[in-house]
Amino acid sequence: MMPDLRAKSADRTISLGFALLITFGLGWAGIIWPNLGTANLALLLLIPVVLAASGGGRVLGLGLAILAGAVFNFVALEPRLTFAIAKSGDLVTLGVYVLVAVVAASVSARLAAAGDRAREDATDSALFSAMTHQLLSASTRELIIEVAVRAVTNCTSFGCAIAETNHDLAPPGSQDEAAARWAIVHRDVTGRGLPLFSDASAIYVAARTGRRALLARIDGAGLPDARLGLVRKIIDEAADALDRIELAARMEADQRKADAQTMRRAIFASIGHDLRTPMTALRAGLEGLSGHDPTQTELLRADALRLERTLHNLLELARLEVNDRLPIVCSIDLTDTIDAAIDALPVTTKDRVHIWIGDETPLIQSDPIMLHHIVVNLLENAAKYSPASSNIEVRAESADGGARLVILDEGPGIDDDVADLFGLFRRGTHGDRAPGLGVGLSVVDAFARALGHIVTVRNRPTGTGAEFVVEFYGEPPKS
Amino acid sequence: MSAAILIVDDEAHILRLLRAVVERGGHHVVTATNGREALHLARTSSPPVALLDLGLPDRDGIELVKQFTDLGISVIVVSARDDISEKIAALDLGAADYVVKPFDTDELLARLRATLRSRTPQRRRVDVLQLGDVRLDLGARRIQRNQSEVHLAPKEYALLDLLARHAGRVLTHAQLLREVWGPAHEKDIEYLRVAVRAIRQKIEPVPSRPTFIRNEPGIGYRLMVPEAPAEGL
Repeated sequence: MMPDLRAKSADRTISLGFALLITFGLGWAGIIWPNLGTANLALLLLIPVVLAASGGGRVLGLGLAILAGAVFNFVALEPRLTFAIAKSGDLVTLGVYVLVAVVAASVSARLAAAGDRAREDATDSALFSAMTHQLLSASTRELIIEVAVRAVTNCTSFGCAIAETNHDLAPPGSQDEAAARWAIVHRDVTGRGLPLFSDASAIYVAARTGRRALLARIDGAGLPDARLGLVRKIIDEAADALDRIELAARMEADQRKADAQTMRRAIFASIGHDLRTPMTALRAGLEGLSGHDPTQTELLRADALRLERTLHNLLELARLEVNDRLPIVCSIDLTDTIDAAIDALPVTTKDRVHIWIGDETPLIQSDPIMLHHIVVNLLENAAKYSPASSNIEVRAESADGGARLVILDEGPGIDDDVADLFGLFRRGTHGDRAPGLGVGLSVVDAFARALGHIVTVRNRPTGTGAEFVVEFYGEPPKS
Repeated sequence: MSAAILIVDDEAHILRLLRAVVERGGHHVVTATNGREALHLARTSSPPVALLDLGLPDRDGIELVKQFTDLGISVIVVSARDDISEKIAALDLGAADYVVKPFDTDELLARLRATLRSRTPQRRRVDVLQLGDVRLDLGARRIQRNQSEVHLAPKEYALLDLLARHAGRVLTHAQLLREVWGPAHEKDIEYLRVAVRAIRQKIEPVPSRPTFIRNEPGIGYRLMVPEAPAEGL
């Protein structure tokens, strides 16, 4: 805390009073007892000098030194009780005496000042550590600002206000507003009595640290540099504390989000597990069927596969919906994609697919798993909506700096309700005789959107049937 | 037949089913329904191959992959978890293969045979692979197609050689890139795509419909070697 000026001046008066009292007392004693001794008197007269200097500072000390010299001359040097000096040797004695008194005064004054400073520093650092402690336990922005305001007020004995913008502290259009804005922009201190904006009504101190601005207005002037330095440390600390709670809040939000994500993932994994386990038994059971018409069991197996795919599609759609399915994009050769997609089809469909891949087909950027599902669903769709033994053609070729995947069937083609074709659970009007829920095309649409691929459908230019096209842009610029 | 195949799955009817499938393939079988039992059997009956479900009641099956591999047991993960990162994790930890439920029983048996084959000690293993009309001589580092030499670039050869030495097993993108191009290029999948395409151009009968180097979407590649009909085990 700033040592109270009034208390200090009272200290000074008391020191001076005592010093004068002792000096004149000693002078009186010297007059009454002439055999007190010159040397004794000289030493005793140094006491008030030291007293005045340590209690009242250097100037008082020097004054007392001269007064002590005069008293010494008046009482102890011949002719006594006059200020005259008879012997030239005594002149030297007096000179040396005054010099000693002056040195004593200045040493004591300096020691006293150092003591004051140390006391002040100790108070300051106690104040500062108490404040940082309070800041640590402050959990809201309001509390932090309150703690900082209290600390600045204690430290300066002036009123103080702290805010995050200059609008809250300085009236618009005033010199103060300009000072406040300057302080925020330069993360510095300015205002009343300071270079720049010395006409402002207050001192403005902006925090040097912190992600956001923090500004204090001190309603006073004439703060010593050391005080101002402490104020700046307080504001910086408050700005750091604000950052800290913001970071903590963000981490907590992230944690909550991650927890929710983990929970969702676990739920999807367990749904997937619960669906796949019975499918395993079902499929194995179908494979074990013997003594039946092989074409019949093959049909059953194809149904089981389709059921698997539908469940899988629904699960994938749900995951995409809640952002649990984020694309992981890498370089892909469409040859690989087509190969793996055909491999996932029922045997009866595999044989119908014909592949043509242009030699110049470039690599594309996509998520391999999502693209796999896109192509499998498009192939299944083609198989579903075309006669059982008709051909399905898959083409991959380069196009406009990217690549294009085309799937052609020999079915009835599409009607005009193309916009609806990709909608969840919608099917073309020919859908009545085809099995499935139409979930496949919804997955195609959703995944393509997530990946930035463009899927279009139209009737084949030649012959009947539908033509689905997936367009991939060229390689995105490397970041 | 040699030592029994270890099957680990906590669901009784799936365990029964797996046992039936593996026994149909001509193998003896020991079974476990949790991780503790599985580890005990792994130590006492030293199976060559374990079919391992990842969702075990007492621990995460992925921990067992490493422990089994350290014991010299080849692991085929048979899991209902269809999560790409989990597949890659299992394969990178040393699993020989990963089969997702529901599986094709013939496919599972084929994977089991391929895994058993790859356990043959190196010196007894044939250094020559016949892929259709392509003859791959790993010892002499020569590839012939219909008696004429096929020339591969050094990286292409290194890749084919690596796949051939693990024929039938899927190797992850990261494993392939690390071995052939070095650890610094572990994520440069493009290199791999380009090299695979080049190899296919040179050895596949129809490069657009590959039969030898097969893609596992998002995971890696596997070299498929046509099985000799006599090897019906």
